[in-house]
Amino acid sequence: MASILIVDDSASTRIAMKVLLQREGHTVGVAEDGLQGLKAIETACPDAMVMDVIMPDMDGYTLLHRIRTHASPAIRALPVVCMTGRDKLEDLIHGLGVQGFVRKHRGCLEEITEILSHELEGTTPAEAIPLISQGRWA
Amino acid sequence: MMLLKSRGMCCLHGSAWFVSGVLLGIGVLGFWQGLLATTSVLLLLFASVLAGVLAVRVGSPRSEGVDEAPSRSGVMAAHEAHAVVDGDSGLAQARTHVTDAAALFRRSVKQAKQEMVLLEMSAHGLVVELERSRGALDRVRRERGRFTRSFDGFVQDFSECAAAQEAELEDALRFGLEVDVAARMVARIAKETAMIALNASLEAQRVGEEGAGFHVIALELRKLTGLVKEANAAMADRSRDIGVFLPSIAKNSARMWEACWRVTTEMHGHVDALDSNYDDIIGGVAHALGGGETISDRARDATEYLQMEERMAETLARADALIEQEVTDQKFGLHGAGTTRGFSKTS
Repeated sequence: MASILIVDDSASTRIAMKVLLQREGHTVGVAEDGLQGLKAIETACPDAMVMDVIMPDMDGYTLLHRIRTHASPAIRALPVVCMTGRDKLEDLIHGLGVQGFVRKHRGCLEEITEILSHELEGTTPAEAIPLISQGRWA
Repeated sequence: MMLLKSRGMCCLHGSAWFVSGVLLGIGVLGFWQGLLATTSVLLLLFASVLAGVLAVRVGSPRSEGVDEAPSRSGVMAAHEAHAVVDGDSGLAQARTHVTDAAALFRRSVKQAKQEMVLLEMSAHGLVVELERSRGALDRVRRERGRFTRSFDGFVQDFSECAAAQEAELEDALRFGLEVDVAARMVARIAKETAMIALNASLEAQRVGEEGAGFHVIALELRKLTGLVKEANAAMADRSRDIGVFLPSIAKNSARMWEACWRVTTEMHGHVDALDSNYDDIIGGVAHALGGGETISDRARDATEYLQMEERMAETLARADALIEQEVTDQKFGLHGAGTTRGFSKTS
């Protein structure tokens, strides 16, 4: 089980992704923009982060730049999966150093989980938690 | 005229000297031969008088040629002067050119001003349309914001419903487990009751006729125990059904979440693509708007330049009038009467 931070200004994306990643057995935290995301990373360094690019207050580029230039080595090495519907941003985002760039489409969750499982190989493998087991739903 | 006069004088000089020379030659020859001595003397005297008269009349060609004999440039100047008086001059040609230029200038300036007005109006129309387009794009952006907020609200509602369903499913699961426990307890009670009824029936048979009533009771008790067992078995079956249904409901709920996720990501993917296109369009509109305003500014500048050109056309027209006046003055011999100076000053 890994701890994953979702940073996205879209409430629907946060909710849906949180539920589905929890189903995969991960502990999931959410943030609405780059500022909140950075605070969450500094407070409790997650194992990985999934983020949107275009966000208010602090966008994905700035957040990624702040992460990659952070004083803490653990935060600098944080695996990041970028998820956006803007194809044009791919080169720019890759230039800043991300482990995955996923275009928003109906099958992108599989891509995200595949990247995350590859990046989180060192962590304890997450067991898919049945929806009804141990008194827990999703 | 001067030229002709000069030429005439030149011929007179030549004839006089020629006649004087001939008469002198005849006189000298006659004198030397002793023939007609008197006639020769007279001829000599006549030649001398003729030469003197001619010298007085027209002057010596050698002494007056510097001032009066026409040079080549003088001849040309005389020709030009003559042509000016006749109106076939460079000035007249210049006047024609200036007239044509002034007319052409006026026409082109008028046409250019009309074109500039049209250009400025077109640029203004373009700017207005682009402003309208930008307004429409802003409305699209606002609508997009409303749509995504509505969608987020829908997913939020969906999430809350799913959470409530989760709680209800957990309650149902707990209830099913409790029912299962109760059914097992009831089954054990029924089994023990049946055993007690059997023992009571056996004891009643052993006592004999006095125990007949207890025997009947024991039989009824066994019947009731059988009914309890049947009811308990049915309850256990329902409990097992619940145990099957609940995970199925949960699985369907998970599929709903997956469907929700697919719709969410796809919708946000499209919205992001729309945003990207929106940014491109709004950038293009802003650029075009700047271009339209620049065209408008340039058209205004060009109109100002055209006003200068208009003044130039007026100047040409004035020059045309002055040249005409000059030509007229020359034709009527009024050259130097003041108009030429006026033209020079104006020029």
